[in-house]
Amino acid sequence: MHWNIKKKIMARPIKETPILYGEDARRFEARMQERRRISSEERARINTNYELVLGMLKRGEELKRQRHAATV
Amino acid sequence: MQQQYDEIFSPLIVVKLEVEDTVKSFDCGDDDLNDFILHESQLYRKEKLAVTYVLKEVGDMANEHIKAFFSLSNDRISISDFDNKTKYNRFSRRFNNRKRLKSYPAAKIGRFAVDANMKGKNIGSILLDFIKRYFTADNKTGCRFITVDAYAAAIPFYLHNGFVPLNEEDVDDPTRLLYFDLNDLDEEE
Repeated sequence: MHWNIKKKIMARPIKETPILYGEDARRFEARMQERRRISSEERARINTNYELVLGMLKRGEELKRQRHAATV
Repeated sequence: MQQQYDEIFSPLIVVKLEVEDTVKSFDCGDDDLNDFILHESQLYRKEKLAVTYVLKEVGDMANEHIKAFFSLSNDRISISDFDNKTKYNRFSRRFNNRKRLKSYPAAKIGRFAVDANMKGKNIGSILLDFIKRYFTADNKTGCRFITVDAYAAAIPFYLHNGFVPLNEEDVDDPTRLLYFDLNDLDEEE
């Protein structure tokens, strides 16, 4: 955790991702080599949800830009 | 189903919080997560350590009733040839320029929560699907994994969504590191 944040926060800090050693490292690398593709239905659902939220993000950022422009 | 989604999501927007943005009210049922969004997400943003996105109604300009949030930061997963940290440290002290590490770029979900009033509407899964695809669609840099520092209560949710534990060290901790391989989203060749 960055010291500048650690001295100010009260909530649990976001945990750093550790280096993997030994069996953890071997298991991780083995899993990387495995071929695990999601189903076409799951891919379609992910794409639909991505487009849904991306649309909300674009609308949100556009509104923010308009409000900022109106106050400058 | 689509009509249900339209009713839930058509009045909503997603906004990236800026340093000067505050969140007035949020309750997911977990004090620690509430504290993060109400008081600490700005610090992470100011130090450029994490960016927080909030889901809210179009007219909620002052972030008085946000529906959900997630914080994202850059991350990496590094693996070592050594069996443990002690051996690795001993080696890297002696051979400082040869660390024998392999690192893979990742994006981390630092904190992610849905307001108690919005639970049961599949919002968590929809936002998680977005995050997965966000780092593969038109990505500006390489990103192979999504990592998450998951609260114990949320671990079944992430496992259900294809995440796996990174190691066994934090199995009894209040939060656990999990990861998702973005290559799983690739189409069959």
